Amino acid sequence: METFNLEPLLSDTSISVALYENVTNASKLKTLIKDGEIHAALIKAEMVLDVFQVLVASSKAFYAKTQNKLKTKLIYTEILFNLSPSNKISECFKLFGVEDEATCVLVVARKEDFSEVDKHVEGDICPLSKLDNLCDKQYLKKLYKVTDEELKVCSLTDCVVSQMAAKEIR
Amino acid sequence: MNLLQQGAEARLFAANFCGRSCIVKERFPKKYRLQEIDEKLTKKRLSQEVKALQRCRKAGILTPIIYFVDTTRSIIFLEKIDGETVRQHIVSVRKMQEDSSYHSIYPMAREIGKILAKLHDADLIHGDLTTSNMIIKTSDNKLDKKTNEIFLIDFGLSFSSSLAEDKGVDLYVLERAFLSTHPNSEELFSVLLDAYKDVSKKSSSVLTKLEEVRQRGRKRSMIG
Repeated sequence: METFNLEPLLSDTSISVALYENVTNASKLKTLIKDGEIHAALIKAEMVLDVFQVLVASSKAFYAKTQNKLKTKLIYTEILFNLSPSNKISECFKLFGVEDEATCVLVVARKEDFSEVDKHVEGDICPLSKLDNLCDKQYLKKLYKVTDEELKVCSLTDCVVSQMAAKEIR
Repeated sequence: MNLLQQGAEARLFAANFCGRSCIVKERFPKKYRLQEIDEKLTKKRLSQEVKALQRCRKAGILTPIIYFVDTTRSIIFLEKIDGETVRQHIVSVRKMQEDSSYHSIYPMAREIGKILAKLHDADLIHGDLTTSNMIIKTSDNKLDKKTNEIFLIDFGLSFSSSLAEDKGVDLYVLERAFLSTHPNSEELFSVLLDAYKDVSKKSSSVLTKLEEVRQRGRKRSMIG
């Protein structure tokens, strides 16, 4: 688990990001979030190249909340929405949300909410650096339509992040 | 956030974004313009900048990564490129050497010519090409033989066009900038154009236009 401050946009907000393997209760966690028992976003670990990608999506989501400009119901669903290149909300849940039988889950929560979330997760916490092995780079490259020409000048993470940030400008 | 630069169009701040150093570019309201026009222009320039940065990268041109965009406050967060502008580089190189020639900068001029050829072949016009809008990244790795990693920045006036006229004007603007900031740099600029010619697939019509624009200036005649 690592904690990050969302400066300079929101220096009073810190989020905790944790990666779990061998998770056995993904569907129950999803229900708890739906019912408002725990406050967190569950992300399919295979869809994250680097924790920076999550930080960009989270900054956008928490900032949109302060501006009353959330496009989805919750900050946490907004994080999933921001991760996706598409503007279709249902599609982004399918792409970036966890399936009921998922075993690798990336959890994002406010720093103060994290310990409560952690209690409910049945799985093994592991270092975020493991994301690099877990993620499906080929699939993300295709999803974000990253060209080989582009990869000559910047990393896949940077291409993805740039497109996420510029999503509303087409 | 520390103020780095205040220009006519925007303010630049240095900041840290989730562990990476970044530049915050804020387009502030211009009181001297009619409010509606000001808002329209500011919004347009922001979106032009974002679009061009993305399209350039797709074409294989080095540009800063975008971290965050807020269209309502007209703020963008961009990757900070560590290095000096091409302008600073030329000035400091000339100060260091004894003669006043530009020979040692020829490789860099060639590199710029290649980049602009790529830019124009992708039908992108920068709109404000100057030696200050290009940054040479200082590489940590000294053994790296890729000597010049030149980034293009400041795409607020950029647009998309396939017309030789627009590309010619783009080069003309750079030529004027070169000649006015760096004395006797005619030869240096022609080195740049030669590289442009070698790489660009449509260079002949663009260079013909450039010649035409040189005769009459940047603006076309206003008749009709």
